[in-house]
Amino acid sequence: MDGPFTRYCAAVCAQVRFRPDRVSIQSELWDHLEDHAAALEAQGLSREAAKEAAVAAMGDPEEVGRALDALHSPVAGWLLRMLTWCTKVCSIAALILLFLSCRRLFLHVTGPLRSVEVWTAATSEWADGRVYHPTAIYRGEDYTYSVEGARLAEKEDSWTLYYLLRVEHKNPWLRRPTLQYLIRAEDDVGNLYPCFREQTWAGSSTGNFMSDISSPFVTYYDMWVSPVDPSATEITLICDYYGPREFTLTIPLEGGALS
Amino acid sequence: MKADKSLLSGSTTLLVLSLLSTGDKYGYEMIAELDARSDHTFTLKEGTLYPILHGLEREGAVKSYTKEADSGRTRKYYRITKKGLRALEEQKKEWVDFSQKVNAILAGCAPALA
Repeated sequence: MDGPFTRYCAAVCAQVRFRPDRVSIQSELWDHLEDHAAALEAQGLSREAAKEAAVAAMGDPEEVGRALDALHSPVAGWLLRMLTWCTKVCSIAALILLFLSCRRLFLHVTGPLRSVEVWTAATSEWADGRVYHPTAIYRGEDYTYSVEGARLAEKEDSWTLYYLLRVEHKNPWLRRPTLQYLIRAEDDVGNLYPCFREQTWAGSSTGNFMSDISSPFVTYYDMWVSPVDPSATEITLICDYYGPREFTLTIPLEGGALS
Repeated sequence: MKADKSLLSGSTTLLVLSLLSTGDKYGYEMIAELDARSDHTFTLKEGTLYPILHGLEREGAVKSYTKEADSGRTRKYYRITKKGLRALEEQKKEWVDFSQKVNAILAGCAPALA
């Protein structure tokens, strides 16, 4: 709609370099013109004459526009916008973190049971043997390692120890360490089971990261050691790939078919 | 008599702050009240009101908000802040001081001799 109001507002806004503020300036000026024209109409002027008179009373649009441009500087305007965006992004990130830490609480309460169930169901597809829960826990500096469940399975006269490794970390940036390739094992009769990194063919001690039951604060691994010497009574898991021992965990082979 | 524009410009902020000190108003409301209260003496170019208001808002003397007016349309209202009230008091004092000195000269005797 091209009328005197549109022309006046456009002439003012054309001087304002910070475009995002143009909308509010336009609507404020437009309201003013409408009010003034309505007052003049009430005094008996025709609609068109009232509109023209209202615009005339405003004065030079360029002068007003230049004065407003000085107050709505693009530099300050964009800086303020960026600051607002940053604040919003930070608040959303904080909310997400809050949500995740609540989820961690949730995992603390119900996580271990459910994760063991998921793991049991997954391993049952290819392994038999009773699932047992060894009390193996190691508290490291950044991580707490524990074995939540284990089962010994026999296939073609060869024994495999399957276990569910739980790694807890308070810092979400430390999630998903590539432990599945770094854990080697030993048994109590002196056999060594190298990890994937030490031995490039399918390692004797290896596994997979379990994304579906892991959270930013708890990572689960579906691991196995194979073939287990039938004369062994316990298996010790060792992670020392980075030099000093990160952890050792001992899983007794109790309750398995070997005992 | 219409006031000289230059005589008005320095005191427009004083007038605007003074109008807002009696209650929140939107732009046209201020112009209409100024017009009525000054007996049509102060007919400033209405557009210049907005740079003044936006400047005062940036200084923190007024705050704006949108609200539905009695007519049912939404309007951008301005409210004077505590900072604005202090500025109003200062400007009022300056104005009284200034006008007394002008009056004294017009009356034919310098204030020092009064």
